Amino acid sequence: MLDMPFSRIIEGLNYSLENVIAPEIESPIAKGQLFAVVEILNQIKGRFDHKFELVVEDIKVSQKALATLIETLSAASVEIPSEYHSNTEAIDLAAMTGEELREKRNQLEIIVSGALDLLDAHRADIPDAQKVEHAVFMQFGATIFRNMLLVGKYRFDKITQADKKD
Amino acid sequence: MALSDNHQLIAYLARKLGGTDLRITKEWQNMEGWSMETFSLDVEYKKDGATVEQALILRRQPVSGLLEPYDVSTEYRILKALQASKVIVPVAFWYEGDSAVFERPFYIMQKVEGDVHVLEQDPGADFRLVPDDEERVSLANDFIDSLVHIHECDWKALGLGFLGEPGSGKSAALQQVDYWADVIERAGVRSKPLVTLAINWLRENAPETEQVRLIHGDYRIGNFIHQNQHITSILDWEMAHLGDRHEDIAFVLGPLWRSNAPANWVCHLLPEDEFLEKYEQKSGLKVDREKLKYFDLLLSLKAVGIMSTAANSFAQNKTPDLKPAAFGSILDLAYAGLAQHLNERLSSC
Repeated sequence: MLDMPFSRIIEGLNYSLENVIAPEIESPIAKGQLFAVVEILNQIKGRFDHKFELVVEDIKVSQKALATLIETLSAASVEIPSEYHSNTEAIDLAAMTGEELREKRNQLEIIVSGALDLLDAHRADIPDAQKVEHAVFMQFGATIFRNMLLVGKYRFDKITQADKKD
Repeated sequence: MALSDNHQLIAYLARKLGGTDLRITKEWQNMEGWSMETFSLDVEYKKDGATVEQALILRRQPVSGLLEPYDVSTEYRILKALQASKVIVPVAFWYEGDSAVFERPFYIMQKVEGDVHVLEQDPGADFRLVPDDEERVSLANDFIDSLVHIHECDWKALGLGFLGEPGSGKSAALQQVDYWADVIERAGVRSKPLVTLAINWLRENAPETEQVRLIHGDYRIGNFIHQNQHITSILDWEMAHLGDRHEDIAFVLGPLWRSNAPANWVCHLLPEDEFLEKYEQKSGLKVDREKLKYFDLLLSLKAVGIMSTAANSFAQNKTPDLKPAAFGSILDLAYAGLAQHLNERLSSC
């Protein structure tokens, strides 16, 4: 979900704040404060985007994984779609907008997944296929760990026990 | 609109209960659940010249959410069927599929008196969810008994074949892999390389199932009602299906319901070795520890499926409810769990 453009996340939050939560608030002061939050979120939504360096890192990892898979599949004489090769070529990432970067990352993930499925389909012809899968996994490992560290402390009990006093 | 103002629902309840002058005297929506909408209703009506008071639970299909696509009738049919078994469940009264009554399909069941344990996120190192040792031992005993009853029940004779018999051999495991792969596909994250690696490994290494059994699918502390030191009802059958019992056992052993004090107890009730030993004793069935590792990975894929569905529900504007959005916002934790188990499996061969 947090892969979505921030503007879309804020639009979704604001819709619920305005149409679901505000009508339930009886205090005019609290309701006014809520609309102030909606207003602020609305004003900042076009000024924020995902951290450039994280998406760039994701793209580089996917390209590296794709190169590993191409090498393995080629060695086993598996026919490789031409788009695999073209997607390992260097990209001028600095020239891309945030939206273009996210699109590129998503496109690369689809290609890497396709290459993994191709490897799986030819497993019998590829010695140590699982070792290659593990190598690809390890290439993504650092980004998965990085994303986990980005997860803030969550308090779902505040949500499910909202009827209890603090 | 308050339920007490819903004339269709009031007329429906009066008709089903065979009473007149029915009033909803108290109502509240339970906040604990993340999926199905649960309402507690106290009703009062006249029947045979007497005034009757009754407490009911209404479970309604949400617009969208973690476990979609929803069909609330499945849970109703499971509860109905299990009433003829040793598994202790609330009495399910009526299912209503006509959305004109209360906007979406729902069913009504008995309100079972007692409490439900609520898991806290940050309770502190010395926190004990069940502080009384005598109560804990008793609950642990009931907890294992109930799991054994679920796994021992004759699901065919109970009429639970509608859940879809997976067939023999590897089919039970493969059916679950396919099910969650489809869920993840619908949620739009099937093309994550991590997910692809996990699905391919699970398909390649699916274990044989010695016998297809009823699987609760969400069996843990927090999903039962207890009173006077005993479990009085097993709840939340939304993910029940037919499959391999090791799936339920691996779920019980999950890290999210381990205790802080004493450290690392299963579902806050007892040590892992003791749980497994007692399950084996009571059921007469061996627990295959290697199989548990397979199901650990499958369950972490399932967690990705549930969380990504929640995220997608928000992303696609399917519901204005922000609870699925909050759940989906920590999807990276589910990926991390999947990565941990996948690393163990890929590096072990």
